[in-house]
Parts: sequence; C-alpha cells; structure tokens
Amino acid sequence: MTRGYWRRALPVYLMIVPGLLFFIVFKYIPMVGISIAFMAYSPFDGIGGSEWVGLRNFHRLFAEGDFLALLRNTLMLNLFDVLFFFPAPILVAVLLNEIKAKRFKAAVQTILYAPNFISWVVIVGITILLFATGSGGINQLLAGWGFERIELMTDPSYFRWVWLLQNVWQGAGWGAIIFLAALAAVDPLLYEAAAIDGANRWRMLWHIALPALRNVIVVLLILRMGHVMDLGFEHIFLLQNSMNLDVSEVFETFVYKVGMTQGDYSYSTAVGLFKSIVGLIMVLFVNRLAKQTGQEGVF
Amino acid sequence: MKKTALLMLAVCMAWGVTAGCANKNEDRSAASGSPAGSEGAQTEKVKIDMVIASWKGGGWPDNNHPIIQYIDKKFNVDLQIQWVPNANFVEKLNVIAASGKMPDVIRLDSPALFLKWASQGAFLDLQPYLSQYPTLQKIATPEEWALLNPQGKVYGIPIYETAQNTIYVRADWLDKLGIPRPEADAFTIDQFYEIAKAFATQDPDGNGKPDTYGFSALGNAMNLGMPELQAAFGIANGWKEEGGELIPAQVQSKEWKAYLNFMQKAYQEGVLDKDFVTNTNFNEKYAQGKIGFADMHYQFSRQTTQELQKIAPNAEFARLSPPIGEGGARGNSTPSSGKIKVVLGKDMNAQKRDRILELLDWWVSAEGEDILKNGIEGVHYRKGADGTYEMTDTLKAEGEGRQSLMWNWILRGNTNTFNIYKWSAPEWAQGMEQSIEDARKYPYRNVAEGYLPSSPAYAEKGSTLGDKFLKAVVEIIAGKKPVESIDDAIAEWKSSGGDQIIQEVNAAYKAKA
Amino acid sequence: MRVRASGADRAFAIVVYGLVLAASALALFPLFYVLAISFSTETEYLTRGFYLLPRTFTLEGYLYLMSHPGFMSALRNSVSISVVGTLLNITLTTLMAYGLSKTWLRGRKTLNFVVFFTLLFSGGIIPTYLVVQTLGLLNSFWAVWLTSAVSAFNAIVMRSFFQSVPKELEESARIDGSGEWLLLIRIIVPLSLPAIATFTLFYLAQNWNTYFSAILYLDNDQMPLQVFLKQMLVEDDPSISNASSVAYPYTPAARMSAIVLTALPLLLIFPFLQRYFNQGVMLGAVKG
Repeated sequence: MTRGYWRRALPVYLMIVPGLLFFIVFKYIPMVGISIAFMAYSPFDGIGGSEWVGLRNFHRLFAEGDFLALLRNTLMLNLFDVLFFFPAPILVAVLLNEIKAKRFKAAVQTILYAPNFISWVVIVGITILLFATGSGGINQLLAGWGFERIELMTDPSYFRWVWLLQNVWQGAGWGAIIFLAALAAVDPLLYEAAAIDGANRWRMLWHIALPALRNVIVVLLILRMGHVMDLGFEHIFLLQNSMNLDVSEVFETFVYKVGMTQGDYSYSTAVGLFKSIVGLIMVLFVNRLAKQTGQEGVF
Repeated sequence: MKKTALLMLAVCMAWGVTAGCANKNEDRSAASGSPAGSEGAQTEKVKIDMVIASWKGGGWPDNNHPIIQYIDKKFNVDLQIQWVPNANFVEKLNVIAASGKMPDVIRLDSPALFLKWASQGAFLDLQPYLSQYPTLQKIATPEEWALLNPQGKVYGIPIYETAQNTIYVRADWLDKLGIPRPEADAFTIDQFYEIAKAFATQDPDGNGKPDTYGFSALGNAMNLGMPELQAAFGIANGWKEEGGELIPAQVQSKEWKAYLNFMQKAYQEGVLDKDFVTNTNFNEKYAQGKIGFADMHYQFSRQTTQELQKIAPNAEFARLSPPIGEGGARGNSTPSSGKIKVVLGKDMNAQKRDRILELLDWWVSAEGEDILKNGIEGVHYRKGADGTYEMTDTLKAEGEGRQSLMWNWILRGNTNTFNIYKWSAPEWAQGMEQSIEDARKYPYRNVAEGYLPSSPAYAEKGSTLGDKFLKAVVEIIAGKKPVESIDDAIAEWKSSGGDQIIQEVNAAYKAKA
Repeated sequence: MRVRASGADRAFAIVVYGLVLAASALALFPLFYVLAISFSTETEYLTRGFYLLPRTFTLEGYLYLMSHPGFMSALRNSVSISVVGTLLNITLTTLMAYGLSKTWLRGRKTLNFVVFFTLLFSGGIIPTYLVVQTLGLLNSFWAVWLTSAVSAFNAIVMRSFFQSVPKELEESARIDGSGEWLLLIRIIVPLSLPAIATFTLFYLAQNWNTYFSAILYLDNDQMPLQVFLKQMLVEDDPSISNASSVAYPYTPAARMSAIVLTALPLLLIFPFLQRYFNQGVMLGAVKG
C-alpha cells in the first residue's frame, strides 16, 4: 500500500463510513434475530433465553400440505411480474423520451405517476365496482348487450392477470422515473450525430436509447431476482377470496394467517429466512451470469 | 447543507440519548402536572401505561383527552394510552414484550395469544384481589371469569359480549308486494325463501330493473355472514356438544348437504346476491337498497334505515326472528363473554395494582359508564333547558361515538346499551335493549370456544383448514361443484388435521369437566 | 441542420403519441373516480356505482379533514419526517454510492456485498426495535430517520449511475490536483442531477409513506399521514362490530378526500424535480 493510494483513498473511505455505520448498527447488529428461526421464541425469555429447536420450524414449513402450492403460486406471480411488469416502466420511459413537446411530456408524466399514490384498497375497490359479476358496471353492460358475464374477481384463471394489470397500472409510470434519469444522461450530441447520418427515430431508439439503459436494467433485474419469493402482502390479500384461493395463496398471506395472528414469531422468521436464502441463490446465479456476459453486476 | 446534515448525524450518533435527540418520554413525565391529591389514600401519582388496539378511525390523537384528564385527576394517575392499529397490534405487542417493558394494561382480542402468554407467566393473577372490587366482579359470571384460565387463576377481565344480530327485513318491500310480516313463531326457512324469491323477482324497489336480491352473504366467513340460515339447517356454530363429545360443524355431512342445496338454488335463481364471494362486509350492500333480508343488529338497522330513506322515503329494515328449520332448529349467533380479555402486567407493585383495579371497578360502575361512554358534560354534550341532552358542536364535528373509545375498545360493563348516549332518542335505547332480549331467546353458541385455543393442531392448521373448507362451500353454492362434493371436503378436513383437532379439543373439554 | 421527417419517423411519432395517450386515459379514469367521490354525497356514492362526474357537490369531506385535529397533526408529522429524513437519506446515499463507484478502491467488493446482503436478510422487527430502544430513540423521529437512513437498493442503483460517468473526467480532475471531495461536489453532483433528483423523489415517497416504523417507534401524537389514512380506510372488523360499530362520520367523501390530500403534496412536488430528469445534461458544458 503506497502513500499515494491512501492519500487518494482516505477521503473516499470517509464518504462511505456514515452509510456503513448505518448498515452495521441498524442492519447487521439486529441480524442476531435471524436465530429466532431456530428457536421456540418467547418475547419474555428473549433471544438469549428462548429454547433452541434446531430446524423444527423449517420441517414444519416443508411438511405443510400446501408447501408446493405456495411455492408454485409465489413463483408464478413473480414470473408474471418479471416478464410483464418489469419491462413496463422501461417502455413508458422510452416512449416519454421520444416526446419532444415539453409541456405535453410533463403533463403525461405526472398523470402516469399519480396512480402510485392510490392505495390498494381503493384500486381493488374500483375493480370490484367495475367487474363484480352481478352488480359490476362492465358486467351489466356486457349482459345488456347479450354477452356472457366475466367472472373477473372470482374465476381463478383471471387472478394473476388482474393482479399483474393492477400492478402495471399503479407502478409503470412511477418505475419509469429511474429509466428516464438514465436516458437524461445520454449526450444529446449522439442524437445529433445520428440524425446527420440519416438514422430515423426507430434506429436511434435501438442504437442510442436502449444501450444507455442497459446498465440500470441489468442492475435492477439482478436486484429483482433477490425477491423472487416476495410479493406485496396487502395487494394479494385484498384480491384473495374463497374462489381463487388455489392460485392466490402465497407465503405472505399464509404466514399472516398461521403466524402473525397467533403471535408465532419463530415460524414467521423461519419462513422469511427460507425466502431470503432462495433469493440469495437466485442473485448469486444471475449476478454471475451478468458478469460472464461482460456486465458489472451488483457486487 | 450536506456538512450540516452530516454534523447533525454525527452528533446524534455520538450522543444519541441526550440533548437534541432527546427521548420524548422523559420530557413528558417531567412536564406532567402536580398531583391533585384529593383522595385520601391516593397521595402518590401513579403512571399507568395501556396498549390498546384501535379500529376504524384510530385512537385519540394524544393523551390530553378530557376523559383522560378527568380520570387522571380523579384517581391521581397519569394515564398513558397507546393506540395501535389493530392490523399491527400483535407485532407491536411482541416488540414491547421483548423490550422488557410490558405495559400495565392490555386488551387482548386473540384467545390464542392470551393462552400463550398466560402460560409464560406474563399476566397478573387477579383472583386474590377480585372480591375487593365487587362492581368489577359483577360484570361477568364465574364461568366467564374462568374461561381460558387454569384452575383457580384469573389472568384477565372478561369482555362482555351478547347475541345481538338477527334477521331484518325491508318492511317497505313486504308492503309493496302485499306480503304480511312473518310471525316470530311461524317464520319457517321455506317462507324465508319464498319471500326472498319475491324480492328478487317482483321488482320491490319499483325501478323496473331486475337488480334486487332476496339476501346477500359474505365470502370470507364460515357462517357466510348469515349464521341464522345455518342454524335453521342444524349446522353447529363452529362446534356443538352431543353425548358428552364436542363435534365440529365440518363433519356434519347431512346438514351441510341440506343447507348447500338451499343456497345453491338461491344462487341459481338469483335470490342470493351474485357477488357474495367478494363481499367482506354488509355495510354498503344494505345501504344501497338492493337486498331484502339482512343480518344486522339494532343500531346497524337504524343507521341503514336512515341512509336508505334518503333514496326511498318509506324504506325500513324491520326486525324478525331467525327462521325455523326442520325439527324447530333456529338461532341467533351467541358469542361467549370472556374470549376477549383485559389483562394486567405481572410486574407491577401493589400500589399500582390497587390503583388500576380501583379505576377499573369505577370504570364499569354506573358513574364510570356515564363518563366513559358519554364524555364530559360541557365538552361533549350539554343539558338543555327542557332537561334533554344534546351533543356539542365539537363532538358533532369530531363524530358521535368518538368520545366513547375507552368504553368500546378497552373495557365495558355488561349493560345492553352499547352505543346509546344521553342524547340518543329514547326509543333507540328501548329498541336496542328489546332487540338484545329477543335475540337471546334463540341461543346459537359455539360450545368449544373455551377449548379450541388450547389445541396446538388448531393453532397451527385451524385457519388454513377452515379456509379450504369454506372454499368448497362457496364453490358449491356458486354452482361450480355438486353438493355431494362436500363429502370430499369433509374427508380432506379430517385427514389433514381435523381429526387431530377433534381429539385435542375433546381432551381439553374432558380435562375441564 | 434539420433532416426532413421521413415516413418511418412519422409512423414512429404516431405510435408513440397513440400509446402515451391511451396509457394516460387508463391512468386517469380511476383517479377521476377518486376525485368524483371526494365531492359526492354518500347517497350518490351508494346508488350510482362507478361514475366520473358527480351530480351532487359537497366539500364536506375536505372540510371535515381540514378541521380534524388528527389530520392536521399527522400532516405536520409527515412533513417533518419527510423533509429531514430525505435530506439525511440523499446525503448519506450519495456519499456512499459515490465512494463505492470507485473501481480502484480496495475492499470495494466486500463493501458492495455488505450493502447488498441487507437487501435480502434482515433480523426482523424485534432486534431492530431493541437497538432503537438501546440508543434511546423511542418516541422520537430519529428512530424513523435513522432506521431508514440508507436504502441498500437506492445505494446500489445510484452507484451504477455514478459508474457511467466518463472516467476521463476523473482523470482530468486529478491532474488539476483537486481531491475527491471537490471532484464530487464540483463535477459529479452537477453531472448526476437526474440521478440525484430521482433518488430524492424515491426517498421522499418512501418517507411520506412511513407507516410501520411509525407504529413501532412513535407515540400517538407523532403519527404520520399514512397511519391516519389507513385508519380511515379500514373496515370495521365484524367481530368487533358486534360491540362497537361506532357511527363515525367517515363518509366516502371524507375517505376519498383523505386519499387526495395525502397524495397531493407529492403530486405538487413532482414537476419541480421532473425538470432534472427530463433534461439531458450537457457534458460539454461541464467539461468546458
């Protein structure tokens, strides 16, 4: 280690220290709590005093009659999400980036961004209002014109699509912001040069805009893989009903029913740990894949 | 700007506990006023911490509410209520318990959590002190005090509950269609169906559209929100007793088939609300004026009627009795007092314990009920020259009922005028008491309520098994599966844990008996 | 020099504008519904189903909230949590992300993994609560600010933004003799304004949506807007309605007004930040 290196590096380390302190104090120290997954935890005995039960909580999880169904439902929804939701904000960003009329662009962007602030209770409520089998506005129209009613909220085959489309509706405009920021970093000279070369807008999109996004897309996709077992609880719970239970029961709703309401903290922690480990494996795999194809990766 | 922020952070990281980042609690206790000391024995001010689940609307924004101030002064206490939204209540309780600072008073709505924590010795045994507080002791029967408790111990104060809900009907619809109001003793389930079908097919709201239903249901509850219908078919309200054994509703194949035939037909013929699967409550359903028969309680019926009359001036939900099934089976769902408890933390000194029990003894007395339910005269209501009472504008703006949170969400006595206030119309009080008296004529109880929470299999699997059984029930009603398929659901319920639950619940039952 | 629009370009414009307009229409109509209900009477709400234009008009919902002491104090709390929290967030995150973007830094890989690992594994609420308690932060906004001081996700993504800043800039600055701090403040920050604006917005939204940590760490009178909002939107639990079913004046208008008023500040702030991520930054301007 040379003195030159340290002169250069010391200020950089100093920049990192406050953030690092945060991670140590509020993230790493509490990680002793992961041990709760291997205990029959009682809040009165604490982490030090509760009884160790080894892998019992995990055995219980894997022995649940519904374990495979839970796994399948969770992965399927995540697959839908990665395949169809993940690209949506990219598409929105690319489209917005192509709009030259400034005021129009600003207005449209604000409109697309706004649904992010409407809570799931309201979004699901509106959907039921429109699509309820009997009283839903759209079903009444359909019936009036002599068509079959669509059992959108209760037919299990629609569940994943309803969930997905509501996600897109709520999140596509919001998610586009990060990609717009990446596009904003593109040097406008590139576009001018391409125009002089006679490239049309399609080709500029393909050769300038998308490559500019590649880096952030890869990073976001890797991070997304870490959450292949996670889904928002509230949204699914609100959409869930007796008829779609076969496809809508996921780890979050399951843990809510058997763990939290009973105060079974150890079991909830064990399920959480299981999900994290699956996420870690996925990320390690995808990160490596990214590096092999010449990308930066996240670590 | 960045430097300042960083500096601030550094300072607070280093002296996190002091100065600018001070802990609010310490400020507060220092700032609290001097003791009033009006009552002889209560010379020392005692701080009482309560952690209470809050429901719709949330708790009071701070602990300076006039009722809290009144109690602080009267008992020389510093009452600190922390309201936690019910959805996160268990999580918050867990972290507080883990931090070693168990609150002095908690209301626990979950019998499973009560049992778990009671067995870990978290609560104060009230048995030795109860006799000194006769008013408090009188709010429940000895059986209710004993519910969920080990022999000879009392770990919590039972919350009073009573049968209240029954079948109501749109009386204006009956009149319009020329149907006489069913007599209590002759109201059969067949008659219920006949009328319901007339409601669905004869356009009782006169708008020329076939948009009315005989009745609705909830897709998220085993009793489908209409327990009276299941009672008429002899299905247990959860569990029933027969020949010394406790039997769950899930195994009653014959009764389920009769009931499901009835419901399936109702769905097919448009008598049952087509959207019942996604219903999670009836509030808006009934107020929209498209449903003829309702399951509600008195106050709900009055509020809904008022709302309906803005659309249809003659609208009225009138109270009936539960319909009669084969062999005279009928009933109104009747909960057991004592499933929900108010518990005291075990680590308190005698002075605090006495002060709290004294407070709670007063709480359920007539005087306490007056304050906790109606609020403070001059703040929440006023007495007019003619002796009648009226809400103040402050309370009107905040909302009627917002003054009664402590009564409704913490502890209340066993009077049957839950939300009847001094200023309520006198016929409301009468109507409410009468409705409860009538509802109690047809008890329909879950006899295993005291034993279910002590079954480990029930704790682990009860809710998911119940969900699956309900799924089968709903699918059959909606015509996706034949009625006979309920036998498959019964077999599955039993084999994937139900048999074990039956065995454990019966073991607990026999141990107690 | 302007090249004439070709047929392909015209087709491109039609596709772009068509899609954007369709998406906006889809996004707008549920928003309109929320607005419409916030001005409607309860009767109209109950009888009309889905509609976009109210026939009745009432401000009762907004007036109720404006006069509600709980709402106003929740609003103040949310502003405090968001303003201070976001300043802290963006400062710490920018510093950390910039530091970790240095490919030549020793230990960088380990540090990156340390940050990333917290995205997947967490100790859960109990131990975190105990840390907060030990530091004496309970019932103080510091508990909320500090427990969410840096989002690992934002730090990682921001790092990748910094990495796309051309290396030559750094080299030329080093020749000038300026240290890392000057480099960051003079060159990197102005160049990365789109990214900084983006993460400021992300953090603002995250802080504005504070719900669970407020419930865990704060006192009744410190609760932010989301807690207030949720309590208005939840339905009464059937098991409790047997007992309470209090006649609260939470009319549909009041509930929807609360949604509108809660969302409004972030909608209003958006155009101010929007400038930064809609405009490309002229590299040349900085270089020159």
